[in-house]
Amino acid sequence: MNTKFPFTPAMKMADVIHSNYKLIPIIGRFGIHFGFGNSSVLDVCSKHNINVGFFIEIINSYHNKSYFPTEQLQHFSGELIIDYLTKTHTFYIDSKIPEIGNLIDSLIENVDGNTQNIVLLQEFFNNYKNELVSHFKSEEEEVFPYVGSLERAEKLKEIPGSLLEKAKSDWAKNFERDHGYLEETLFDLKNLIIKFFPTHQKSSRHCQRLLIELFRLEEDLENHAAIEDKVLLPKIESLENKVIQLNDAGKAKSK
Amino acid sequence: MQGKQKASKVYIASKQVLWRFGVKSVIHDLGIMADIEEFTSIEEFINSVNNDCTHIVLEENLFKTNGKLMLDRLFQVAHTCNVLVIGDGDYPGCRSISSSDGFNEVLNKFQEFFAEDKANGERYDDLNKLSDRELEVLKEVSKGYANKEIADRLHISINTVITHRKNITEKLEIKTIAGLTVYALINNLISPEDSQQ
Repeated sequence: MNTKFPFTPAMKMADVIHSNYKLIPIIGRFGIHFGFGNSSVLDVCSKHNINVGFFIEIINSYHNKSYFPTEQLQHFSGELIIDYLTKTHTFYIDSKIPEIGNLIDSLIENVDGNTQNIVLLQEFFNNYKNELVSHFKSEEEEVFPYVGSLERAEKLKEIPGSLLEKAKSDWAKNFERDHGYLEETLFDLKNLIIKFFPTHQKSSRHCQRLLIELFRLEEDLENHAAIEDKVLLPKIESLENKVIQLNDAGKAKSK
Repeated sequence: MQGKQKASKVYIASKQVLWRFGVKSVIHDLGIMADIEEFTSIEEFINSVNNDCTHIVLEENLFKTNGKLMLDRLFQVAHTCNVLVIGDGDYPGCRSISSSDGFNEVLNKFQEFFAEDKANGERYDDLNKLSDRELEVLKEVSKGYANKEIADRLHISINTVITHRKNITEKLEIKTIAGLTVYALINNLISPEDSQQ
């Protein structure tokens, strides 16, 4: 439900963070550092050479799930979207996932008695991590460069045959099918801890921290997946159509 | 959204947008997972209602002229729905919120309303226990057997296996095989050697 008003470029950057601290990692992903005094969002973005329109749409989509500016986000270049998504992947792999891994380790160190159950959780999380990492990797190695190739082909009006073939297939859609399974696995992990995991006084505090981090990761990943599903995929589709049309028009001319 | 707990399917019927917004806000703020549809007239509402719908919140004014008749028709179409009427009249088989109820009473009534599942005639708590047969199927799933193998091993049809699995997932709210295996291990339903298969 829309109960939150969207941020604007004229707002103070400090106020943005005061009103939603969960935006802190997003702001970090854009390479913005603290100490921005009373500068507006617009000022901070220009100083860091960030497209302010894109920045605003990303933080708003994160701040309020029902505000999802699919159309506005479509106007930005594929390069900009992919740069953001790649930085998000890095954030998960370099910070978030290792943090959660450490929390599980500390849970094992602080358990009273039997570590067997926590080792089960650890294995479950490690499998999840491996699947997440390989999903990111295949996106970065296959999907993201494909967007670049499409944009280049459209700009130069030169379309390699292999690219055209790919554009005509449903190849790209298959990649985002993993999201559902990854989300289910993370939800299962949370639910196993909440509902079925026997904790004791000593381990309970660590369990709380672990759960909070899992919820944060889930929320962040949901937004990330939404950008891929609702912005990147339609972007790819529209680029594919343009490239196919360009090719058809070229053919008609040469006849 | 995938991976979340099963949402209640809620129909809200009222002419006034503010009224519907108020009901949605309460549902949202109570943290109830709800898949909501809104209706502005009783005719439109009665035509759309069916047994998929679990909870109905109605504004009394909407059916004031032919109230009882409408409710009878409603229960015919959707006899497993829970109905909450907002208004001062007395409607058998329905919960109601009257104009004398204060804020806390309203919140309590909403919470009680959504904790009930008329279709099963029980509270959710009691519904979540796995039956003996479901436990058997869960063990087999956790040992890594596929549906066809489980059917052969337990001498039941493959459709029965699928139904049991669906119920297990709904009751435990665990969807992945890996998650079910962890559950089975934590509860000593299988031994660690079993899960290695």
